[in-house]
Amino acid sequence: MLLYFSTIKLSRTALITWSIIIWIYSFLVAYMYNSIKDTTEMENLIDVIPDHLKAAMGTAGDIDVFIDGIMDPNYFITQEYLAWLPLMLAIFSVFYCGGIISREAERGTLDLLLSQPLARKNLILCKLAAFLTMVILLLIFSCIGISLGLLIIGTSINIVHLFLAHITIGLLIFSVSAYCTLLSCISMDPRHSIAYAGAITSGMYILNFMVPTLGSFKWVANLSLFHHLNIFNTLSSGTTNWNGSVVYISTGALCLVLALLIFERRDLNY
Amino acid sequence: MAAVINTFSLTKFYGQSRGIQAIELEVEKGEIFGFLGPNGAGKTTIIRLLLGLLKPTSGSSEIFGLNTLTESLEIRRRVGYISGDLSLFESMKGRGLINLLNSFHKNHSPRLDELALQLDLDLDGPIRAYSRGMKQKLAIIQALSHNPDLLILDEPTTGLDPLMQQQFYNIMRDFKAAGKTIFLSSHILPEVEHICDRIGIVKEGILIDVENVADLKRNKIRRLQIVLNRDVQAEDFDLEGVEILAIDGRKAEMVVRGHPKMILDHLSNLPIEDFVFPEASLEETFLQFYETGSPS
Repeated sequence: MLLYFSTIKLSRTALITWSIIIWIYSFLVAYMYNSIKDTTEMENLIDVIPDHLKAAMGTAGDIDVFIDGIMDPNYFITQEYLAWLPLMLAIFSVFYCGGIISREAERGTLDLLLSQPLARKNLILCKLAAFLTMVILLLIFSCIGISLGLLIIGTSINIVHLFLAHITIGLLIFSVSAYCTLLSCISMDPRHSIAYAGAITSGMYILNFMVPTLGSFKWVANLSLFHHLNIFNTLSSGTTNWNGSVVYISTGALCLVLALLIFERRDLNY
Repeated sequence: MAAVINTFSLTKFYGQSRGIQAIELEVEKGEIFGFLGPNGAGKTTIIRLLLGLLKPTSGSSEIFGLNTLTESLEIRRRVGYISGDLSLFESMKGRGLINLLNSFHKNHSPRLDELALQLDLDLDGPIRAYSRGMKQKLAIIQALSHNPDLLILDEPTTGLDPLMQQQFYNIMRDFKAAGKTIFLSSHILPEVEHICDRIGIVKEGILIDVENVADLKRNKIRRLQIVLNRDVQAEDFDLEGVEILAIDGRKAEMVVRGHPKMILDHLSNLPIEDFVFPEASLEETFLQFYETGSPS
């Protein structure tokens, strides 16, 4: 348990920095809504945005953006903030979990920890649990930031839907952090493990917003974890993509089990 | 006496390259066992195998009768370890690190402050501000603070000043006096000579010999330099255990094995002008080991 708290304590600088960034960003986006919600130029602009760029912004498909000349706040929050939040947290996962074991190996502190009566699986689980706790804290900050921003300008969105959207993002980050941890257990060089994790994550991200250009190969997009995220739907109607959630949980669980098995069996020579 | 460490034909290969080969070792309870060898000989490989950080290619090893591969966790509860390549969590405080590491141990009785006092270390400072010697002291404290039954030490006095080295040797003697065991890997011969009961010598991954330090001391090799008031003849030193290295007119240099009485008696019959007969050390003996695989 002390390892779990120590890991969070040792990562406090990253946690505080990311919390401030996410809180300010979410708050400002929500606060900005008032200034553009009824500008007709925005309506014209949204009409001409290419489909794959809309996909990158998490709002692909036929969506009624303006109702009685007022932009849907769910649309605005999704396009300007919630579509980017998974990317930001995925980058955080790549750098943190991509080196979760390999960085300890490089520093030499892995020997120090594993010469104690600490099971290898507990080391991974403790460190990953600490990371996921930090992600949960960041998601809570994000919820508070958006709600507070909208509250100040007198606009409201469904808080339960907002919470559900954040849970979906949390599940996505669980699966990203699990495969990053797996790569960190395979390669004991953090430069390699982070590079592989970064390449896979950015590949999946690019694949997702290339969907409209894939033609008959659209099915390939299913390989991208980001493709199963439909934040706008969740935020506006509360519908959750259960298939996506199953994909996230099963991918995360599979990668985590593989990481535990590989780390348990491997030689620690570096 | 019961064996604390046992290895049975323990072998480790890293792909095609050799780590260690067929090591048969027995370290008894209550002894300080020195493990000697040059860099790359395989000392650290054996330690990492004993701690379960590496898996053997073949053979097996036991500590306290427990298999180091399958029962490593139970073993590590009773072992204190100092790594040769010391790395600590730099952003933590000394006390915080020890508390973290102690939290993994069950039934431990922390002796933090007592050990910190003995080694003159402020535990409340940040580790990043510690000197190399202070970090080494912290490593010693972390290895001892949970009252282990066995200490596995890899070059433990690196970075310690001579005064602290003596303090460390005293702590090791107290540890041994409590009936506990120490497995010490080192290439510092005086250190090994100073505190070890037995020595294992490893060369290119193979354990070439295990000797009692007392026996080795009896067979120590010394280098004798002598100046006579006439030219030295090879026959002057035609004695058992004496090997002439060089003769240069009235000067001669030789190595002498075994007890010095015989050579001293012989010297009294020669017209000596000067001689240098330094204190015996194990160094010559070990150099002989590494060159020939045998002390004689």
